[in-house]
Amino acid sequence: MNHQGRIDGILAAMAGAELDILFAFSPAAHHVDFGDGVALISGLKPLGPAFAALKAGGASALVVSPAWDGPRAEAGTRTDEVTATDDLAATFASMFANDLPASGRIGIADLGKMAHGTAAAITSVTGAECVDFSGQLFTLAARKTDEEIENARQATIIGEQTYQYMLEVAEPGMPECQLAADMKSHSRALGADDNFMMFHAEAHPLAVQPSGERRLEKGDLILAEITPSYRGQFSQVCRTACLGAPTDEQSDKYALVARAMNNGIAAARPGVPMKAICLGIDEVLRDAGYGEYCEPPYMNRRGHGLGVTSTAPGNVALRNETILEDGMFFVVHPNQYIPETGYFLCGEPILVQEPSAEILTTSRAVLGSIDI
Amino acid sequence: MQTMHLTLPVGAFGWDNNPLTEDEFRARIEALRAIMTARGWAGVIVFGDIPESGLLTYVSNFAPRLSPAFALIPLTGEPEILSLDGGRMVDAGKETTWMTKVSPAAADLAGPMQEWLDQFGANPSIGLAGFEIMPAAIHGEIAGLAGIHAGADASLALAGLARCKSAAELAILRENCEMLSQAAVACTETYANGASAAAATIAAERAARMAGAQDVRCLYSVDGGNSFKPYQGADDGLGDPAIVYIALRGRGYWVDGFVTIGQSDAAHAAAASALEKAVTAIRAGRAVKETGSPSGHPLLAGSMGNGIGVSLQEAPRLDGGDDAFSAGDVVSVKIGVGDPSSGFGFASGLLHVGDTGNEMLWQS
Repeated sequence: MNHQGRIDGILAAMAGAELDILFAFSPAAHHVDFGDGVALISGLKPLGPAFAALKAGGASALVVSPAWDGPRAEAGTRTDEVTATDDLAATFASMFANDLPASGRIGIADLGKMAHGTAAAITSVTGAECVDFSGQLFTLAARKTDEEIENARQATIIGEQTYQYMLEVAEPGMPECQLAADMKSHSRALGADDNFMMFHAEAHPLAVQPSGERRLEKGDLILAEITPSYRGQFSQVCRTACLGAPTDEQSDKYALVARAMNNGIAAARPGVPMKAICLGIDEVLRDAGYGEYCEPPYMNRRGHGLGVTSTAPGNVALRNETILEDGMFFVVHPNQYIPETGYFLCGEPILVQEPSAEILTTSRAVLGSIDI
Repeated sequence: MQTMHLTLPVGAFGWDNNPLTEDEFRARIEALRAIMTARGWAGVIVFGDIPESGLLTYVSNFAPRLSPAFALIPLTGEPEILSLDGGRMVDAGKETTWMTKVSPAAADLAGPMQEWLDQFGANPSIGLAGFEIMPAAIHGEIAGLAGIHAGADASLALAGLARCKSAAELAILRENCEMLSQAAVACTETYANGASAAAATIAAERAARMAGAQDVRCLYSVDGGNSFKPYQGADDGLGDPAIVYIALRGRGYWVDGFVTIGQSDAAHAAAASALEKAVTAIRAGRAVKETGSPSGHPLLAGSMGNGIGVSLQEAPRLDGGDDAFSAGDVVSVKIGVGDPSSGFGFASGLLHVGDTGNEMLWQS
């Protein structure tokens, strides 16, 4: 599927919902857990608050702010028109105040993420009875385009190389936030336009969290949720490494978590519900006696979709009944707390396809060991 | 200056190693309480989001990294943080602030907010700071609550307090200027070694991060300053000269500036000259319009810069208006001169405005 194929799908859904026009908004406050409707429709990751308009006939427009970002927007967009402005709401009014159908035939996505003053000004133009199309829009982008899949592959390569870099440079005494910053910088130099780096280390971690200023110590388990974005597509590689030689118990328990992950991934194929992956992971861990740790507060999700365009098909979770389709892309990560050893990060990005999901990483998660 | 927002800032956010003391923050709270008393506010609610958290950071040192947060400051009693994050992120957030109570509100914001407001009785008078940047969905959850519905704007009052930098804040800003210098050197050297402007930009970013920056946001131009863009991946463009804008935050405080790399041209010389003139004109008590005419480059949006500190853009805005410089201001002066055909030159400086004279903190 290419970008136009996705747009055609959105247009078909708009027709089904009897929409004459769709507006997707973005505050450009990018987040690994959120989709971005502007990037989805236009192909451009916005730098400032922006919106994209798609008419039922297929005509499209992108409006970006600030005004000086116009040249970048013109070079990167796939919409028919581009406008750059310093006043998004005023431009919206000037473009559409006299050219809008009734509210009920206007679809809106993510207006709630915009600053409330901007959102109110736009609502005063559209009326308040617009159709919230956010869920449908992002669901329609659950299957990645060929270009997004290629970008996901590149992002995955960067993620793996960043992990290898970490194994080379991590040493006792280094503040964990400095190592995280180093890894973020390394991935940027490899071509990542962003990297969501949840990164944390301690001898017996309870969970992963943003890096702090604690200095690494021998025996720490380093938890690295490396999430580079390449040309606007995030991928995620979850790894754990021991600073020094891991104990046999740590190695054995990590192997258990990796086996659970692989059992979950084995269930991922078109036609099965997302929750099947979660059940596959839980099955192995429950059989090993860790059923209690498969429930909240220890566990909420076993993976998730990856933005920027859309995070569909959502979380790898027991409540997610979404039927997997060819071309869906997400990360599967058991990321399990084991009482004997602490929390392990273990995860691979996968692409759903027939007959079985493709794991995009070239090397699989094993408990890393850093010589000191 | 608007730049591309990167997810999850990594860097030194911890409270334990923060050079600012709890006494400094409590003095800020007391200064705010003096305003609250004068205006009859029972409390002030300060909102901060990930891309812009300046006022929230000013009162708490708390910087949202994954979800927005509020500081709730009563006229009497202990202030607290209400975070829209969940469990593990709240624990991480607790490590970044002097406030002892940091509560999650990911599942329900209106409930705990109402509970806090209830202590002031029916229809309390509340000041609201940072609410202008609040996403509509969050605003919709709390806009109807008594106190918030008729809340008064406290952003200007709080920003006014943040504008005058203390000795401790100046020490942080000086350290951040040192980071900016390191970033500029890395940028220049990388470019001189034959790398592209994009690679030089990433070298600047890396140098700043490795020096301890919490956040780094850069733009670069390879077309003579006609257009700027964020780093989006490999780009072979050279420019010569190329122009790089670097903004970095350390210990809650921003500094920024332009760096011209490669062969300096007449436009850059003109910008440097205009900067010198503008900086000379800045004095405490003098109107910003006396600094000179705002630059014509679209990037600078009709200004010659602005105050800087916990936010990238604070008062005064150097837009030719009547606002006056005050002792304690730290201003980022930015010049962009030239024309599209011959190219634009950029120069910038960071200046601390004193009672009896100014201190140049950094200059491009």
